[in-house]
Amino acid sequence: MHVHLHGTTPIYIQIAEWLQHEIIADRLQADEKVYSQYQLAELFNINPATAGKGLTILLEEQLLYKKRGLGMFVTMDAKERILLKRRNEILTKMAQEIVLEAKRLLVSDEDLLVLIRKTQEGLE
Amino acid sequence: MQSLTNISLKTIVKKQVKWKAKLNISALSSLIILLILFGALTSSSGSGSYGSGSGNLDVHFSIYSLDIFLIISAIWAFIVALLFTTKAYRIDDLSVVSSRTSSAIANILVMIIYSFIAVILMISTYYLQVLGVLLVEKKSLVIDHLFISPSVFILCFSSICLFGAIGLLFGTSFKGPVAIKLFLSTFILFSFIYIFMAPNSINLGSLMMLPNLMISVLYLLVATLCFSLTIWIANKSEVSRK
Amino acid sequence: MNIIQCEELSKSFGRRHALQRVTCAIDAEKIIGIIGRNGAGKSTLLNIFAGYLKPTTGSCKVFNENPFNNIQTAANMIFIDDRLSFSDYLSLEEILKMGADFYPNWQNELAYRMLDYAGIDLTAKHQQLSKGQLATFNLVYGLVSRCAITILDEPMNGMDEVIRTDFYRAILKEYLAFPRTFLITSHHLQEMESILEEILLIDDGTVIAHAPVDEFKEQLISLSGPGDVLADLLSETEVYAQKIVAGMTSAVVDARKLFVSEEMLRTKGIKVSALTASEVCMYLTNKKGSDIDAIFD
Repeated sequence: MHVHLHGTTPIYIQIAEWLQHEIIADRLQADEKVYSQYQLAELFNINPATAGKGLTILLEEQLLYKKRGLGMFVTMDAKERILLKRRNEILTKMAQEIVLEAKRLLVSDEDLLVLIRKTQEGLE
Repeated sequence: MQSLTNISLKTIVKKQVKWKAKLNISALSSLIILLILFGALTSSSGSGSYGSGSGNLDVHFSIYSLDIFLIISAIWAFIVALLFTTKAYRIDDLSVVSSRTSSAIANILVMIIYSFIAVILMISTYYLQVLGVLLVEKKSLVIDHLFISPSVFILCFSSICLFGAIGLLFGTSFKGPVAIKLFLSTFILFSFIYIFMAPNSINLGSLMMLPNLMISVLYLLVATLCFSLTIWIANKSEVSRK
Repeated sequence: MNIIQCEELSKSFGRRHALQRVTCAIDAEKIIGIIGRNGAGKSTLLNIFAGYLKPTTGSCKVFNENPFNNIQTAANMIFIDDRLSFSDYLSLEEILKMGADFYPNWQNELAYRMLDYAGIDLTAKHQQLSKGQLATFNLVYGLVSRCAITILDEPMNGMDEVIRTDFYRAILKEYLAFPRTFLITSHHLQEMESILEEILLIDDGTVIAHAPVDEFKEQLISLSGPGDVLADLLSETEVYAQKIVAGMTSAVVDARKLFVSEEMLRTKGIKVSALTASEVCMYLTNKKGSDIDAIFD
């Protein structure tokens, strides 16, 4: 993965998301040691402090835990929690967008629900 | 945090002297060329000659002495010292660990070393010239002093040192703080005016009559004064890298 | 102890005020980008750090000492720019030997490898190098000296793009191997942004901003949407630039003074976009109201 330097997402958030991706993909297993900020810095060609910020985000969300003097490790239920969070986030965001767009296109709330129902039935 | 390096001024000055003395050897080679050139030029007439004739007898004296070589070496020292203080050399100092103080002290030590070598070169050229005259011109020689006495050696050294010191002081002052430049210009101006207005009050004759060692001590004292001033001015100077 | 501490530092050259009451601190070994327009005062500030110039008023302390004419500070600092020069009689190899003699942490092996990589002949003289090779050599000289404070003033000037990328990475790797304070100035912030930890922005002799890169970028945001909706918001915060294109108004505003969430803005039909660090620098240093278009109107 290349860090998108000129994108709109701050680099440290991209790092956090990449790490979460690695956890979901089982490339980082539970209780396994994650990359240090220095390793991430070298891997992505970024400042270690920035990499450290990304690790801190995961630490605060308790997806990682610290072992004194040894580094950071993946929490037991990290994978499940990330998946859950993603589902909620992504779906919530999509729902917001669809509701907004419907409003812009002057579609009523009831019509929108009908449309969604139809789509679900269509997929079954 | 990383532990910081602790370095003494002495160590840095030693290193700077080592590199400066090595790198500017060409200055000494240019001195050799100058000395040999003048030696060759004056080999037929020496540093002074005198002739007189009466009737059938013509007598010509040619005097060979260290004078001309000393003058050349002194002027050379002045110019080399001046060059050491020019922009190119100053900026080179910044590429290594140095301060204005260490660079000034290093320049002074190098000038002293070069002055010493210059005296040796000077005397060698003199001997070469005498030898040359003896072998090539086949003139008869009357030798006053064959071996250069230590007091003469020291006198030559002090003179060259003095001119070097003045050169360093001049050069350093020109790049120094504005106040120094003003002071120096006023001083030179007044000196010139004084010399022209009242030449009689300056008694160089008695100065020349003093024994060699006393003159040497005087020269060295003035040189030391110039060196000290050089360091003092350097301490206050900012660096301009433009 | 802060590594570098400036208090009300001012520097004037005759009537020209290069620095005006600068107060800033560099507290740890970081890679810091010093950004500013030409004539903003960057070089003056760095020259004071290096002990080459004296403050006119105020103070500057490096490792808790006055850096001016200070051999202790000089032993722990190196200033690399395109004016770095060496005796005409030295070949590059001998220059490296000299560097090894003066700098205790010198990495000669590494220097050889880097110069070999860059294709620079060590038997050449400093004056014989092309502009790009000179910049490369000077940068290598600065990196392998491993001084606690390494100042790089436009280090990539003259280098081609490929080697620039390589050497930004070299700076990062050296920083990881031997942490030290890097102060790097450049007119190409976007190139080095990823390896920076903090940005220090100077304009007109004062420090306008000094913050970690992300915080720095988040200072300003760009809003675009219908003019009437936007107008309300703009009155609440500081506006740095405004443009109307095809009926849509877009403005760059101070994000910290905006107390509306992004979702709220989206519902109002206003698009929020982040700015690059370079753009933030540009808007923060633009003279309010002046515009290149105005000259041509």
